[in-house]
Amino acid sequence: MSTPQTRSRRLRILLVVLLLAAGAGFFTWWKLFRRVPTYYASPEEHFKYGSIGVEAPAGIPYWIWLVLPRIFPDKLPGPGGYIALGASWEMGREVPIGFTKEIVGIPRVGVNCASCHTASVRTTPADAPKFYLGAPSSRFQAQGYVRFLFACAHDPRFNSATIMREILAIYKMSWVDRFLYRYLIIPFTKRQILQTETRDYYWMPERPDWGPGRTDMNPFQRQVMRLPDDHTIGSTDVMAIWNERAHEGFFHHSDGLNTTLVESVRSAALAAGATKSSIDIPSLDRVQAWLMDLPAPKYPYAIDAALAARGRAVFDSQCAACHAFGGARTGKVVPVSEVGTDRHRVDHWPQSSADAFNHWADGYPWAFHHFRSSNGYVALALDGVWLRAPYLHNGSVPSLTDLLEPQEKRPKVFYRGYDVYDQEHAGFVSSGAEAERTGFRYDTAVPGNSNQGHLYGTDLPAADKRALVEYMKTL
Amino acid sequence: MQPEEITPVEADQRHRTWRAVSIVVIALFAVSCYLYRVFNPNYPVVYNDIREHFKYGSIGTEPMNGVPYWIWKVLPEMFPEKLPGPGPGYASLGFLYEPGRDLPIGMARRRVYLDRVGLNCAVCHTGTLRETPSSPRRIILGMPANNLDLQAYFRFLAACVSDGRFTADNVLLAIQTHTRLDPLERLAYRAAVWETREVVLQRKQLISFMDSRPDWGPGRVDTFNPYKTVQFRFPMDHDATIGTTDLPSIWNQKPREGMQLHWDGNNTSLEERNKSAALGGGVTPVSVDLAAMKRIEDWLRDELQPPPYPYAVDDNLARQGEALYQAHCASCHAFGSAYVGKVTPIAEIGTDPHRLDSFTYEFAANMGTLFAGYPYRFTHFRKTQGYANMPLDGVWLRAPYLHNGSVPTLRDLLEPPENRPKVFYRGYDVYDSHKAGFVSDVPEENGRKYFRYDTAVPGNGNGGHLYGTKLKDAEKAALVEYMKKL
Amino acid sequence: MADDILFQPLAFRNLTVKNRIVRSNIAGRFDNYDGSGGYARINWEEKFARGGVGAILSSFVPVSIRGRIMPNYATIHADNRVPFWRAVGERVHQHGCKYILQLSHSGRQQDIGGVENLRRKALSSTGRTESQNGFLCQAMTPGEIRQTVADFAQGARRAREAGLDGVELHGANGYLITQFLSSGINDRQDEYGGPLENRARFVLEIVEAIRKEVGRDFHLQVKINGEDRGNAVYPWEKKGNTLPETVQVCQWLEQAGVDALHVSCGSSFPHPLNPPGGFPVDWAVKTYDIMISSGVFVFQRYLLMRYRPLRPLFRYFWEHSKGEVIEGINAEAARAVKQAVKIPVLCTGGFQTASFIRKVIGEGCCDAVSIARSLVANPDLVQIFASGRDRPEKPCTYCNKCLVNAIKNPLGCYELSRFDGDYDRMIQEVMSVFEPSPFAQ
Repeated sequence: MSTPQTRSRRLRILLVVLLLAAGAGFFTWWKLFRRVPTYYASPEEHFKYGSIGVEAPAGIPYWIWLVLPRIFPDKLPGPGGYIALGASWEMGREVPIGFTKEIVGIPRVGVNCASCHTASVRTTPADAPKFYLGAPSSRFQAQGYVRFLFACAHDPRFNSATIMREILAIYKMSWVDRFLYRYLIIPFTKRQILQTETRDYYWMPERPDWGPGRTDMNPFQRQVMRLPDDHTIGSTDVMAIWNERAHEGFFHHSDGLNTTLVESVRSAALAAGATKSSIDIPSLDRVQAWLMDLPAPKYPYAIDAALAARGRAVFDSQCAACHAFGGARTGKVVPVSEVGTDRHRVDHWPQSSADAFNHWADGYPWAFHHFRSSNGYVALALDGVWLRAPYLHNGSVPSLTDLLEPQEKRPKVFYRGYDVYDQEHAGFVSSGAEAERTGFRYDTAVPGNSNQGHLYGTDLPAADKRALVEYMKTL
Repeated sequence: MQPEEITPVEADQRHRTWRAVSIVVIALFAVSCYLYRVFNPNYPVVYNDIREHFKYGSIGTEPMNGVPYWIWKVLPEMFPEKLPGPGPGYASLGFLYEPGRDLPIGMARRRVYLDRVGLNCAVCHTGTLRETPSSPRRIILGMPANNLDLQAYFRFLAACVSDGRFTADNVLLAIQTHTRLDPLERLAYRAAVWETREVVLQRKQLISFMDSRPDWGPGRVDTFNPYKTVQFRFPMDHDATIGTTDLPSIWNQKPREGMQLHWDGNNTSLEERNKSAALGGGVTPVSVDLAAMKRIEDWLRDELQPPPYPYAVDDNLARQGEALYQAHCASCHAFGSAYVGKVTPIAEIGTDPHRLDSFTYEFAANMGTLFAGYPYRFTHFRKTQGYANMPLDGVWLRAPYLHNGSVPTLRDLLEPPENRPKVFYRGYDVYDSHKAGFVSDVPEENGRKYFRYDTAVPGNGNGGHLYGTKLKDAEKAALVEYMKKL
Repeated sequence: MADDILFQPLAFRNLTVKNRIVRSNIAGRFDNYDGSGGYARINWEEKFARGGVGAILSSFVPVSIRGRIMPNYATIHADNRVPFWRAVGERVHQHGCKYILQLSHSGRQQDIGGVENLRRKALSSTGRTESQNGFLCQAMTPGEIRQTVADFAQGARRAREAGLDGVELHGANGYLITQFLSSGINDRQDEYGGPLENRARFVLEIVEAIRKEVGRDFHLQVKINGEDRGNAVYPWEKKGNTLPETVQVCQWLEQAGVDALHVSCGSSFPHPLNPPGGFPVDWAVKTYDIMISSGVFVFQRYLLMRYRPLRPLFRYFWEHSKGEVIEGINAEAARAVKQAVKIPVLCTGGFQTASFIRKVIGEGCCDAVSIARSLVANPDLVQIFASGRDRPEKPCTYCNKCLVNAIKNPLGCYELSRFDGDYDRMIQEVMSVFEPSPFAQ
């Protein structure tokens, strides 16, 4: 029997329970899910440090991210924390370029376009590096970064006690946050990293290492689309993304698998870790708009103008048809049978993947429609080519000078990731003690790493080659 | 439902229950108060006088890197053989004791469950001066510590805690000769012995790479290299850099605002430079006592001035010297000049490059993570390519000269490198008013050995800074005479 | 037998008793809740009259409801109680036994107040909470004192109207009159507190009022503590009145026209020395719980009994001041009183041995002895003595199980060893007080 009295009593209890549940829900949302989008007034700052929507699904809680290099220096290739993994860290900043600190409940660190698309350049080893935005990264090891996280998560030291001890030594955290970190965030982060390894990156161990400045289309197909592993190799050199207005209408990606910039930008964000629900389209649109007119950087060293002038004539006759803006084949795909370079990357992206991706985001306003498969590599316009070393789609030739040599004279083994510029050869220093110590040993014999093909200009007289290289520094 | 009126017994029992609860609460409170009084977690000994505060006040080094007071007190008694020379105690390491003072200058006391002592700014920035070997010692605040061998102090602590005799029983026994600890404190000290060993050994292990570098000697410190491991745990297998520098004076900071500070000019913010120095002294972002530091910072910026040269100056000679100074030095070293507080490229200045090279880009970038989460996170550290031009206020007291303290006197600095002393002794505080600097040829005094400084040792090079070396001897004498007045 | 002092009549001023054995004050919860009389009480008293005692001193009979010790105890607070007491007297008289009614007021020592008293504190000389059970109380106003004195006088009048042989004022064992008399309890600042004469004022006023109400020719005696021993349980409590003070009070009572004195001890009830003997904790945990809501310390004290590890604490307090003597424990006090007064003196306290009783009377300690527990065990004790036996075959063991049962269960002897371990026979004996029943055929 329920009298009106007991009914109102039950109602009151229900109300209290609902209020408590709502309070708990709000607290959970506030502390773990509330996104406070980072906004930088300057589009350049936004490119360097703004979020593209990676933090919620794949961000590492800031305090964990900060102390990992201090707890696991043994898992880094050298001193400098994340700089040892090639991060471009502007002095005085809290995170390196290409890393974002955004509050999703708690501050989390994700990556953005700039992590792979910022080059670090030093004139001498003692210099602090200068950073070039939009350039292919010269040092950043995307693979090294995820492997570092995997290795940390596998280590028994990745536990709440160790990590909290390290955090609390440098930061007076609130009691609520301490509790959340100790019992929720740290264990969950560990699980999430390990899950990412087995679910999204299971294919990685059997592929050749990327090394610094290179990436792979595999994450696209395995992590984003969950296509079954076809064991193909997708390693490619990271591309320059500046001056996009001049590149309009060109094919994108090294094999030209898309014809629209907007889809290339958005799909790259997905590969970086954004998901359908987290991807920040307005942010990406802002980046894209800025890239339209981001100029290719001028060569910062002395140029022999006379020599360059001679080189221009050689360029016009030998290269311009494919590589000058306005050239007949510039921005178009040249069949791999014709250019003769390593074909792994072309074979890596079949039509089936393109079809799948064109339907992958159906129903979203930003769904993809322009992916396709090709039979070759795009002949790129060469603006800022001096900074785009090493060369060819797989980054297999360290300098422009080397590229003008036949395959047998190109370096068979060299070192990537050392960012001191080699003005003589137009590329980064790729040999010598320091390059060997800090760089990645690039072996052209490894599948996908071949430096074959693109023999244009290899039979020019040496003087012409020198002049041509000098001219190309001006592009 | 009508509430049932309670009986007098029930009312009384409720009353008693409340009283019992109150008594328990009050008792718990009282016990907490007692424990808080005995082990009050964190309060420093406070000095109202700013000079006392500078000498003995805490800046927050004690919580993480302090040594429990009584342990610190008894170490020299337990292990006198580990001290480098005649004491008493820590004085043999160059710590300065004022009469009637329990602790030396630069050593602060703070309660962190137990009373602990830790370093403060004054330890590296207070020096002494004697006119003759028999004159009284004058203590001067803000000048570079010319006595203190900080490295020897750290090594002494590490040697003590590594000794098998460093046990709780032995330490308590030694403490007993000074004071009676209550049983709770004895228990706490047992734990403190263990904790001190852990903390000191961990620090020793972190900076063990310093052992493969040349010794600092008194008045010098490698400021930044220890940060690489202490703060960032950088692997040091490929880092052989030497960052040892002379301690600087810290008076008269106001006109230095905005200058490139530190020897290589790696930071333009006074606040960051100060906090960075505090980190070196042993504070952490959590333990730093910002209010206590602010008092010192304000005083150093607005009040503390270099002491005037106390001996006779030949004014005529100095007047001649002033003209030379204006011609040869002022553009880089006078307040208000074009290049003062700016970095002169290493190729131009030509002094020993080790210190410059030890402050790497990777390190500079990581400095941006210090004090993360606080509004005063470091944002000003930069890699530079030379050494900064220092203002020369009170320069007569800042000997030996150059960033690594490789030239004993001003007069020597005006000689070309080949004529500068190749080997000399540091740590002696008798003033050489002829050459303007400390007497540097005394290897030993009353059993106390001074540090043999060999300019051939890496990092100790006395080359470079050739300005004025081509002047005539008379001109050099005049210039030195004038510089005594700066 | 003619020359046996035990069987010599004892002549009081207004009353003569046939021998020197008097049933002391004892009864159970035999009546109706409100204190109107029950047939069991008549059965109870007859049991002893039949056994041959010279007189029966009734148990505690409250002169007001507020002065009761527990419900189901017959009162004399109203005229409508007179017929019952007349019936009791008549039944006792049938056996040649006298009946003296004990006029009583609990004061603060109210074990179970009953619903009538639930919402008020007990009256006392003091406002201080009682120390053993934590009974709450308030200090009586002069008006309340006057009213209570009148209640006593009216009680005496009703006893006389009921044809009883006399009254006894319960001035012992911690009840209201003791609360005034005892220097350990009475903390009044007015004319009823302070020096002994002030503390005695209350009882003397009662005596005066009774005399005024019933005249000089009605037997009136006073039961009084030889010594209060107020610190017998808790050593930090005050000691209370000493023997010389009691003797002084007795002299004043004699002067005021009291006909006899009855010497007991202990300024609380029970008290380690009264009734002397053991304390059956195992039984107490079955009965003491009934008092938990009565006082503010009962629960704690109950826990001390209930949990065995805590019992030593209880035992320490209860037993630390107790001596070895049981029988004749008050004999010396009685002797001191007797030497100071001319009126007869009764003495209570463990008497059970004929030769010992002869000795104390013979030595001039008292003129008669009063016996409670030994008579509960053997109601025919007088006949046993008359038959020449010095002690009963199954004597009272002084276990005090009757005492701790009294607050909850019918009064009787609960000492199983006296029934050869036969529990049913023991209960049958206890229940015999309800036979005959008025409605039974």
